Amino acid sequence: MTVVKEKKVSSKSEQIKLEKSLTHLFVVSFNQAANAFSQLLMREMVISRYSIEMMTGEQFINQLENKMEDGYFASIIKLQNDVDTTILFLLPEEEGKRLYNILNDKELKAEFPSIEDLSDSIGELNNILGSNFTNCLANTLNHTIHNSVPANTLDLLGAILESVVLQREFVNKSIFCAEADISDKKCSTFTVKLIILSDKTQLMGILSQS
Amino acid sequence: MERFIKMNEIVVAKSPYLIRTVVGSCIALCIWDGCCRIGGMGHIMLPESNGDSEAPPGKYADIAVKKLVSIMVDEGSLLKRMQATCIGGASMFQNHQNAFESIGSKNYRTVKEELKNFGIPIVTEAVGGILGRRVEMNCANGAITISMLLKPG
Repeated sequence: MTVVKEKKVSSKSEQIKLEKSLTHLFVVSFNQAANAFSQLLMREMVISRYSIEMMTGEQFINQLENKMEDGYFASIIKLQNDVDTTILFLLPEEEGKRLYNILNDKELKAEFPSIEDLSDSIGELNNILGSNFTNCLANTLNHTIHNSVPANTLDLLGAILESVVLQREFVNKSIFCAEADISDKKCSTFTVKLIILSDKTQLMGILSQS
Repeated sequence: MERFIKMNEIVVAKSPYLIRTVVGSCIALCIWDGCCRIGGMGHIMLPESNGDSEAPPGKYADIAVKKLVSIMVDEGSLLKRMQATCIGGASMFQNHQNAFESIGSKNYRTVKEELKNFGIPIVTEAVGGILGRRVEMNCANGAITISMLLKPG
């Protein structure tokens, strides 16, 4: 496998150009994810909000401060080798159960399968949505990128987020945080958060080579 | 009165305050002085500061323990009356464990060493595992409640 080397981004204009390319990459990948989601659920899913910002891990966590004690399904996928990137899929606990029913074509019931089954279903969604981003990035870089299998959990949001930003790749670094809310267009059954966290310097360096 | 403690924050409060936080890999360090009913909590993110002097007081274990103890002493606590509780240091996301494991356990080790230097005993601990924890400290009686979203398997 070819290893893409990082290159220092020199001029300000080059920096702006790269940031535009990155924004484009994120927007395209979010749209592809929403389309894949629509096909999977056979209902129209749209991006109801998105943001692309550079921030620290603390800033990333603090923006969701009032939800820290809520239960969330979470699934993470890590891109391996050249690009330190984590794809995080978040869904509030109750909405996760609704999504499970839609995926399995069931009526809303009081009893649910095990948490592991629920988490795995939701992790599989992240696998599909995450693959869209990986493919987009790979096409942009004209380079093969491998991703991990999803790691899934249901836990307190505060605990999930701090464990994500405490990864070696992101501690004390500026990270690109691209975040999209993907919702059911007709009714507010659920809204998933798809978050892509990436080492900014590394990603810009790699993109400048392509 | 209640107060949620954010990552890297330290809060010291007197009765009747309730202070609380949520931790995964981080450590929630609670110190209680039952005589003057003062409680303190730090939400500690990383083990060592390595010269990062501009960091928030609760960010690094080596600084946070000293800072928390110092604030409590300023409020009237005595070192010999302090008792500590450590919570957190979990390794979330099991199949990515290698990437998360070390920081949680290093945090805990550094907190323990710093407390030992002050001679503050750890009376209770709930550390490790794979689940996040919600921690609440009642500064009226020092009671600490730890809850999890799921039961540990």
